[in-house]
Amino acid sequence: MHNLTVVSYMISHIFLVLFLYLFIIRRYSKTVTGALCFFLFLSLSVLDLFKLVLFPDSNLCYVFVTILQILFTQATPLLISGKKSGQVLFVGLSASNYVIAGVVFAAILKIGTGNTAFALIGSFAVHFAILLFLSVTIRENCLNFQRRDSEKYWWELCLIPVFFYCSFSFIAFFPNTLYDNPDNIPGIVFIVITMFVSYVVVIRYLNSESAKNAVYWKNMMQESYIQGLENRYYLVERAEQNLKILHHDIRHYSKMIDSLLAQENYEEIREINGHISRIAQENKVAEYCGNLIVNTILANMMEKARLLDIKVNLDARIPKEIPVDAYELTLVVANLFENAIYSVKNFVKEKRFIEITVHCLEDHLLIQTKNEYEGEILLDASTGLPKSKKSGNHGLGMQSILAFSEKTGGTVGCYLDDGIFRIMLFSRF
Amino acid sequence: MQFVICDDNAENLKELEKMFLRYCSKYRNLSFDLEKYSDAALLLHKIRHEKPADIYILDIVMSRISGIDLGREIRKRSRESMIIYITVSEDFALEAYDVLAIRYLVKPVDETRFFEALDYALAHMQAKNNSVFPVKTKDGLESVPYHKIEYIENSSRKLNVHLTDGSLITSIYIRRSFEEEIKELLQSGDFLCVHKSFSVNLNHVRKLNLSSIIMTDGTSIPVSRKNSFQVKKDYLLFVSNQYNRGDKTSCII
Repeated sequence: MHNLTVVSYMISHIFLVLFLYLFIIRRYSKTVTGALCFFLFLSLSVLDLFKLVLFPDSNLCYVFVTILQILFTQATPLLISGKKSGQVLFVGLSASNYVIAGVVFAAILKIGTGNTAFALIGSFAVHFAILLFLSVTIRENCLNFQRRDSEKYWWELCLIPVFFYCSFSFIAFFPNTLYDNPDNIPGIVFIVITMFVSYVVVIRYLNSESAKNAVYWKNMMQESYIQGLENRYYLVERAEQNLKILHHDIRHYSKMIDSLLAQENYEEIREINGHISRIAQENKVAEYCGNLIVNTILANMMEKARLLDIKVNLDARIPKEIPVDAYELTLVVANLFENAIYSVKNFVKEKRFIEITVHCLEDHLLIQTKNEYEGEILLDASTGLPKSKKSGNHGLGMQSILAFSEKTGGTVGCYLDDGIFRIMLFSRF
Repeated sequence: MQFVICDDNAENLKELEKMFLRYCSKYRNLSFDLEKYSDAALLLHKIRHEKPADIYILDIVMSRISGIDLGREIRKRSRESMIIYITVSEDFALEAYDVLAIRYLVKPVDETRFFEALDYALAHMQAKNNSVFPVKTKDGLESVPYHKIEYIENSSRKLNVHLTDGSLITSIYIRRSFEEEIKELLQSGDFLCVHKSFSVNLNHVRKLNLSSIIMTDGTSIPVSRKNSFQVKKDYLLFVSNQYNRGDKTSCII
């Protein structure tokens, strides 16, 4: 019996490390990660020998070794990913639960058929099938969550694998095993099924939540764009009205100039000319760059800043044709601009100042915002970008700049020096 | 130094040439080559098929091809050439800005402003061309312009100077530390030590990763883990300064 259990546990450990290898974004090379996984496998197998072979009747040894195995198992994902995040802990805890299903199935086969070899092959097959199923259904989503680095919900979600693990342990392993109490088999089978269904439902729910967030931001951008177009329309309309008036008045000005010419009053003529130029100048619609989409958002943001009495130094070099997606660029610029406005809007007037540089030319992309900042900024160690103090996550603005930076093959960083906050993205094409 | 003036109005072209010659007379020790074009199409052909000039002085509104079109074509071929626009209207300022023109002068051109624009361009070109790094090789001293160095590697106490054209210059054994040897380069601000054995020219960096730098020719240079945060910061500040040099027209509300 012990031999079957030892080999069955070893099979589980192999699949446990495979699960960790597949479901966690690696910090190190494949070789280093492989070595860490192999070390975990060795540790778990050696500890099993204590629990199952050397001291099979000692409850104290069982509890102590199990705690050690849990610590080893949960420390490895943190080492592999280099992050102490809720998602990584969730994956580590889930790995432990996933392999329990295989162990339970091996025990059921052994109890049902009495054939050890059949039970081991069954255990291997079940582990493999579940890993395949999970890889196809939720692996990509799981990795995406780690990439997005969102901490929201994950610490609470870790309670799900913890409680499932406790349920399995107390029904199937400790203090009585399924071999001692086969009546628990239907119960444990249903718990296993419930667990996998919960996983799929939870991951899909989280996925749809994050999709909703993305749609929300797209809508916000579109709204801002439409608002910008609307503002532009009113400006053009007002300019047209004023120019119509000027057009009407031009005859009078012309008569005045004729009569002043006759009087050789050149000073007065100069003043009239200056007045006409001023009106023409005042009715020019502000253009910040050659790209229509980005210009519309910039115009809208500049108007927002003007209403809040914020001084903006804008350096925009964005021609009509640009080498990146204009909507994505606009979204990033709008987010950063909005963050900067939000940061300085309550400062005294001298500090309400923002400097924005956006160059999107054939050979490079540079986006930079600089503004005064009071207080401290919580920076994420891996991305170097600010995190929200409330949720511990990157705000959606930061997520959009990170995604854009990855897409354009750029470098992004932010720094707070002498009370000036600066965020920069640079890509060379 | 090679200059090109293009204006389809013969009188304006003559006026610009006169002003340019007055400017040259101030610097008799420098050599100035001037080419004049009254046909933008001819200049376009030259830009497309020959080595770009150092400084272009272009009219914007011309009959067939605009100065902005010429500017775009110049930028496709060279980031280093300087462009000065001369025009009757301020309406093309945004487009001029997009092709990284250093000045935008409105006609009739004020001589002081014209000279100031040329001074700026000249100073910029000279600063770029004058700095050289002396490398002691077994064949003697070789002077390498800073802008031609892509990165320098300290290999077994010898400097491997990798150039932008793919060639390599190897020094004799160095007596001082690597950082001491390349101190001048580091002080120029264009170079950064990213690893105890590597210093890169930041002008030739394509991408910065967590543990490596990809140069424009695709070479990967290791970045020491403990310095990676500072390297990223220095690199981003460098590009920020690089692209925000005095040649901008900002819109302030």
